[in-house]
Amino acid sequence: MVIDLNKCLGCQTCSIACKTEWTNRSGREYMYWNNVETYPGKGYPKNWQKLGGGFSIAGDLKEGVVPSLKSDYGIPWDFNHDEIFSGAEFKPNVEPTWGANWDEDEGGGDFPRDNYFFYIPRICNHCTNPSCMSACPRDAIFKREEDGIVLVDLDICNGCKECVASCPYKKIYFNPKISKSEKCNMCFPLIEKGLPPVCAKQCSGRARFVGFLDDLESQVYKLVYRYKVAIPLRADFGTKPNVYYIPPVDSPFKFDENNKMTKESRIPKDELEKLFGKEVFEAIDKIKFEMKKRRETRESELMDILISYRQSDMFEVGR
Amino acid sequence: MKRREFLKFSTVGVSFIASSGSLLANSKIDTQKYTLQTYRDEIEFLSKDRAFSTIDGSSWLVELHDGVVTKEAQYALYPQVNLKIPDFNPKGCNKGAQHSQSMYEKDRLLYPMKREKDGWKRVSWNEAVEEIALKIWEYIKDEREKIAVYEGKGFLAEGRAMACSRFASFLKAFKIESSYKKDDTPYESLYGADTIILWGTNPNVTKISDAHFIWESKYNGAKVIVITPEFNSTAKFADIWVPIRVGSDDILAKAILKEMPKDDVLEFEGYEEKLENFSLEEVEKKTGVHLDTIKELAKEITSSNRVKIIANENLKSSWSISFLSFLVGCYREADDKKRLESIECNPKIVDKNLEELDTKMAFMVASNELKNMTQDGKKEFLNRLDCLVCIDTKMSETAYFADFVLPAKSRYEVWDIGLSSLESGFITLSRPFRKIERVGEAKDEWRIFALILKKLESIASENENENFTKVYRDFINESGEFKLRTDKEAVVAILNEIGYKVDDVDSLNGILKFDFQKKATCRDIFSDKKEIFEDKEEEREDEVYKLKMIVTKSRWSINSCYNTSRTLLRLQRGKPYIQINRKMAVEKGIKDADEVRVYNDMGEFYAMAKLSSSSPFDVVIMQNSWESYMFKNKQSFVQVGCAKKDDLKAISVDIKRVEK
Repeated sequence: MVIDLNKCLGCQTCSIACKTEWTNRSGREYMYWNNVETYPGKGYPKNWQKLGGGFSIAGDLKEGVVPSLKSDYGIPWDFNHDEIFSGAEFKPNVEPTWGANWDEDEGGGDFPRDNYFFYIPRICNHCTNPSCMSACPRDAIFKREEDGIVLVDLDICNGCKECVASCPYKKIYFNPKISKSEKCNMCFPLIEKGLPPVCAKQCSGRARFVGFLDDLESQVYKLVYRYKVAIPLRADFGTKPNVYYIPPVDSPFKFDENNKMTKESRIPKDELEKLFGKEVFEAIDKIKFEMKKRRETRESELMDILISYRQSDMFEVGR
Repeated sequence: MKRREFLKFSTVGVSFIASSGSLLANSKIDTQKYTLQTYRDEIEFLSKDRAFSTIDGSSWLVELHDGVVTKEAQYALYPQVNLKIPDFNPKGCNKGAQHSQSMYEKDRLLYPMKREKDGWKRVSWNEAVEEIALKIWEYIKDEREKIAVYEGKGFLAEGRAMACSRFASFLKAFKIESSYKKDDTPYESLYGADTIILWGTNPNVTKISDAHFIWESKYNGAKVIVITPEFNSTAKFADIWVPIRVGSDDILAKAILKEMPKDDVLEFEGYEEKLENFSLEEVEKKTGVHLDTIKELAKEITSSNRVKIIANENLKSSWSISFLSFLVGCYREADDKKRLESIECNPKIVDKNLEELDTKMAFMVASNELKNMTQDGKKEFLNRLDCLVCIDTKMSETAYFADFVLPAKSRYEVWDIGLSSLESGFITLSRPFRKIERVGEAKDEWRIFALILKKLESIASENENENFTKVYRDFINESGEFKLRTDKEAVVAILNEIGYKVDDVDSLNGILKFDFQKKATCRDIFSDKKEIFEDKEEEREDEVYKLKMIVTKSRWSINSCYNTSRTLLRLQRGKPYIQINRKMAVEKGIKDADEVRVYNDMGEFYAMAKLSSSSPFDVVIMQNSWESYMFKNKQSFVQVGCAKKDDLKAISVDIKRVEK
């Protein structure tokens, strides 16, 4: 999957589509197999980037932490809908302390001089080198050969949570109801029918491309390998993720202390590098070059792909 | 499907990390089968049956299991209108994507209820209808103008909304329509623009289903300029963001006009005079926008071939902003309602607030107007009123204070037709699946009004009152070709009326392609009707309360629709919050998630502090969706005098941390 951060609206239609399809029931209520977080921010679960997991440069599994339901995920609040009839105040049953979108639109920096934010939608990266799979003591995690989807074998998993600790993206969750781990399954029953996952299909911003990287004609191949504008998130975790991102290209110019507009972009370079590595700058330059070309000549295959004239062109799982 | 060799690009990693796993893989096939089948069964379970529905101009494909709605997805089959313009798919937003959960929430209204001294009493439809008809009779028999029908913007698409108009027409009642204005810009028309100016709007939040056209336009070469006091979701990737001081939009527009070369600005009566005695330095001080930025905006508008300006509906009362839009050829009059006289029959529409109307009985249909009243305002209004009938799908502030509550059907349960995308060439159609299990005793508006008027007709006949002896028969169009007794009949009649030939309405799908003759969107109102523009009164600096509060539309509700959705609340903070600039918070000793008291001399309310770098230092931001009963002591943000019908008007307030 390739997710274009420049087109993400932060509307969470993907999160809600996923919730409706998979996680509004059966011990999964607190899970967001798909979440969208505002960056900079602590994200979901809280501070996931600091909770360890993944591999060291030498290829060893790094220790990780299992996030706490109360403080890191946030207990999913229920409400007294039925009591409104008798005149009660409408309230959550527990005091909210954290949730999947707690940081929404807050951002960082100093208003209005250099504050900024953007959204990062996150699902399981269905890594080529999944640390959850390596960490599982019972070999309960498998990666399907035909499509690369990583799944937890529900028959074998015994709920030891090693995978939760070892996933550096914290995209695998412990289901307390069945005492097993569960995670985004890329809607594989839909993929098997040639259909895209619901998060991509329902994306209102038309930000998600789904396809196979070995299909040289696919949009995802072109974005990742031909134009090299799609890059994995935190590749330094060493798991070789298969979700790629088109990094944020533009942000409004900063202002100086006299409120005069500068020619400097708001998003700090070191933050981009931290998230996407050094490759991010080449990718941004490439897109900017093509945007300029488009403006001047109206031509650019890369812009055509990113625009996507038909939503159906974005999904190439049925080929 | 062709077998995938997905791993061939990166086989190295897998082979040494997962080596032990690979060796054992064969013995695991059976257990893997169990996992695969479990998830396949789960997805199958949810999608046993299908139907179509319309939400706020978007079409949805609804899936059911044994009569219960399980999920929905945008019906993403809009035909592409032009091969060089991106298509509409998937048209629909986050609210629509969770309707299947909201419709079964515990605040859903299931039965007709009547308020009695000791609380709600469940009554039958017959009892409710009879009592309501008698009440109406009491008011209309001599003085007929004491009834008001208030049509909200909530969950009604045009097919249902027209029932309210027709009811008001034959009841000879006042009709009031929600003054909340919808952004009805056809966003596809932005594509191909060189410059897009979004003024006071935040389409990434308020127009989720169509906002993609902005960012596709940007890839296509457009420059995007956003003018808003706060840094919002749309501003974040704009080329230029202009952080304007709250309430100074009109002045900025005047300054831009003044900066534009004379020959670009049409000869216009009164134009010169409007821009006289106006120094740019003064503008800089009032708007907080640097002189160079103003010049750049003027240059951008003048030098681009195709400029599109989308202004917040409330800003359209600014002469200068409207005139700028007019100059670049994209002034649009607010016209988000498609009227059909033959169905609606000319109701007497009054442009007043409900509180201003001397009425004894009011019908509130899909409307939650009481949410916008202060506690005192509500008390006064309810004291004047004898009977309030609320027709809605869920409990609300308005339903809570009603004398009768009648349960309406929610979106997936009813026939409806959406005409709001008509200019883009589409009609959306809701066709409830016949196997859908009825939720409580909910009815559609056409049936509800027909029942009430039938009863009224018989009362009028008994009393030999000539004015109302045919009221029911007129309402259902008894002598006409197309009857109007039910939601379905109304949809057929409307389709026929707009010239869409229908042989079998049951065979129609969610989106109907429609050849709509575009009417002129820009008549010369600048010479004819200058009085529609108010000259904005300048805001005065408040000496005591130094902060400004603005109330914006939320990503999480359509006004108050879906504001109690558990799914959506979990993606917010679970209770009302107010955005406060981080630096201001430090000054005030406020930490994130602290409870704060927001107050001025008019009143107070409490909310959770949400510290943000996106709010101006001296501005706090609320969202408009919250009900009073979601706040501590049921005192909502309207208590501090928030102008309920003007999103952009700022109120002076102060905030204080509440000690735990």
